[in-house]
Amino acid sequence: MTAHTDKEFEAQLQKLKGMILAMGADVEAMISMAMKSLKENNLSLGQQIFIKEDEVNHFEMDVGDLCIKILALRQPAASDLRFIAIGIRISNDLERIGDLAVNIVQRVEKLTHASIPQVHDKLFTLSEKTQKMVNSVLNAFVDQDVELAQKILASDDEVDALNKDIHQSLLTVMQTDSKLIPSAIMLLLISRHLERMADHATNIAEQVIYMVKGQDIRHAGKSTNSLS
Amino acid sequence: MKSLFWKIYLLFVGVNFLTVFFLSFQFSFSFTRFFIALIPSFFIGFFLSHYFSKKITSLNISIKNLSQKMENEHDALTEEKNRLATILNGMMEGVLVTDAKGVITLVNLSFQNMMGVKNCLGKTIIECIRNNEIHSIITQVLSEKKSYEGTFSFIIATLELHCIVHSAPLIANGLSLGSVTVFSDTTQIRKLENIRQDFVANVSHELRTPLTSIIGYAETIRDGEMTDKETTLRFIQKIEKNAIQLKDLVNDILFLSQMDSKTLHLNIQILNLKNLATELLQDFQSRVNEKKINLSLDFKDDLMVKADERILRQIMTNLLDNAIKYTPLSGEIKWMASQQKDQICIAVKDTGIGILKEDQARIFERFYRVDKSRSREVGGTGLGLAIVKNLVQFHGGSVSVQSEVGFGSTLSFTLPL
Repeated sequence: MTAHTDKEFEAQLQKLKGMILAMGADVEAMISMAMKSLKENNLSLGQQIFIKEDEVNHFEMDVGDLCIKILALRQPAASDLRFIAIGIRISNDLERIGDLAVNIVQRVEKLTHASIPQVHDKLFTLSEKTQKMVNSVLNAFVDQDVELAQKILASDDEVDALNKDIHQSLLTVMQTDSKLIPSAIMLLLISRHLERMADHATNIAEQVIYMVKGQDIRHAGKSTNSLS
Repeated sequence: MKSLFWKIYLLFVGVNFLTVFFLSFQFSFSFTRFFIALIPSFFIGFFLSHYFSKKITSLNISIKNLSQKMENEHDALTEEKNRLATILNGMMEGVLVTDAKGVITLVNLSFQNMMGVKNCLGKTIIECIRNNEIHSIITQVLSEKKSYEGTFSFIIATLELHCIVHSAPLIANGLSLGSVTVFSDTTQIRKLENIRQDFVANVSHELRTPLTSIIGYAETIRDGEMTDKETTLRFIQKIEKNAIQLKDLVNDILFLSQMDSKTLHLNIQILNLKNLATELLQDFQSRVNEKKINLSLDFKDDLMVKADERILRQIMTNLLDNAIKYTPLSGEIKWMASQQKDQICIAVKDTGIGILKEDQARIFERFYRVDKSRSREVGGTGLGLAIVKNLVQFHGGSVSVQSEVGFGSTLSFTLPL
C-alpha cells in the first residue's frame, strides 16, 4: 500500500491495519496462554483467554464495519480494494484461530492425565510450529513480504505430517492402555485444533500474496486469476 | 577553492570589460569610436575588477572559514551520535522512542533482543511489537502528555516477559515531540524469586513428610499398640526408617549449603577410575541382583583422573543409585568411562522409563522430581542430582543428559584431566 494524498483515507487504512494487528496480538497471546495451560495444567489461565476472546470478537466486528464504511464512502480500487477485501477475510481467520485457542483450554479442563509421554514432546513441537506460522504470517502482512508468506505455505505440510504422527501415536496408546483413552482423545483434539490454526495461518498467507501481487493462489492448480 | 577563485576573478574582469566597452561604443560617434571605446573600457574594467577582486578574496576567506566550521560541527555531531548510540546499545534496559504519531524513531539493541524484533524504525508500535498493552501505554502517554510507570507481564508471540515500564512524553515549547519508553526486564529476577520460594516450600514439605510419619507412628504406639510386641517393633522400624530419611535429607541440604558457601575443601589425588568403580559396584551388588539388572562396566584399566576421592565416590554413587532406582526389573545399565581430548567423560546409561525433553533441563534442580509420586515410592531426597551437578562443577567439569521416553537415559559428567 503506497501513501495517499488524501490524508483522511490514509488514516482510515492505517487504522484498519492497526486493528487487524491488534487482533493478531491478542490471538498470539491466546495461543501462548492455551499452550501454557496445557504445559502447567494451569486452569486459571482459562479466564484470561475468555476475556481476550471477547476482545477478538469485537475486533472482528469493528474490522468488518470499517471495511464496509471505507468501501461505501471511498470506492477504493486496485491495491486498496484488495487490502480491504483481505482485511475482512484475515479478521475472520484470526477470529477462528482465537476460537480454537479457547477450544484447547476447554480440552485441557477435561484432561484426566495431564501428560502422555509418548506424544508430549511432539505436541509442543506442533504448537511451536503453529505459533511460529501465526507470528510469521502477521510479520508478512506488516512487511508485505511475499517470500515469507510463501515459506508459511510450505511449512503447513510439516504441521500436517506432525499432526498425523501424533494421531498415530495416540491410537497406539489407546490400544495399549484403555485407561488413557479419555485423555488421549482430548490430546487428539488439541493436536487437531493446532493443525487447524496452522491452516488458518496458511489462508492468511494466501491473502497476503493476493494483497501484494494481486494473484489468487487459493486452490492452486484449479484456477489462477489475476487482478491488477 | 583556489581554482574557483580564479574562475570568478576572470569572469568579473571579462564582464566588466565587456560592459564598459559596450557603453563607450554607444556614446562614441566617429569611426575611431571602436578604438576610443577600447581605452576607457580597459582602464575602468581593470579598476572595477581590481575592486571586486578584493571583495571576492574576503568572500572566499569567509566561505573557507564557514566550511571549516561546518566540518568541525559535523565531526562533533557524528562523534556525539556515535557516543549516544554506544551508550544506548550498551544499556541493559530496552529503550523505545516514538514521534508524536506513535511511529518508532529509535530503539536500542537491548529492546530488540528483549522483544525478539528487528527493523522497527518507521513502523508503528503495533506493527513492530504486536502487543496491545505496550501500544495502549504509549498511546496514553502521547495523548495525555503525562509520564507512566508500572510493572507488566507481557506475552509477545511465544515470549513471556515481566518488565518495569517507564514511559515519558517528549515535550518542547508545549508541543509533543513524541515519547521515550524504558523497559527493565525483571523476568530473570522473577524466575529466581520463584525458585527461592519453591525451594523453601520444597524443603518444608520434604522435612514434614517423614516427621508426620514419625509422629503418627509414635502416637499410635503411645495410644495402645504397645501391648502387641510385633506391631510395636514394626512401627519402631518405620520410625527409624523415616528418621534416617530425615537425617539423609538434612545431610544433603548441609552438603549443598557447604558447596554454596565454598567451604568445601578438595583433596585432589590421582585416582584409578576402574579400581574405584569396581569397589563401588560391590556396594550396589545386592540391589542389582535383587532387580536382576544386567550391569556392565566399560572402563579402561589405566584410566586415571585427578579428583577428590570422597567427592568422586559421592558423584558416582548418586548416579548409579539413580539408574538402579529407575531401571525396571531385568533392565540393563552400562557404566562407561572414556578419555576425550583434555577431559574424562563418565556416563551411566540405563534402560529405564526415560525423561521428557522439558524435564531434562530441570532434573539437576534441587527437589525437582519428574514424577513426584513415583520418586517418593522409590525413596530419595530429591537432591541427589543437584549434588552431582554442584560437585562436578566444583571440580571444573560439567553434567549432561540424553534421554528418550520409553528407551532410557544416559547421564554423564566430565572432569578435566
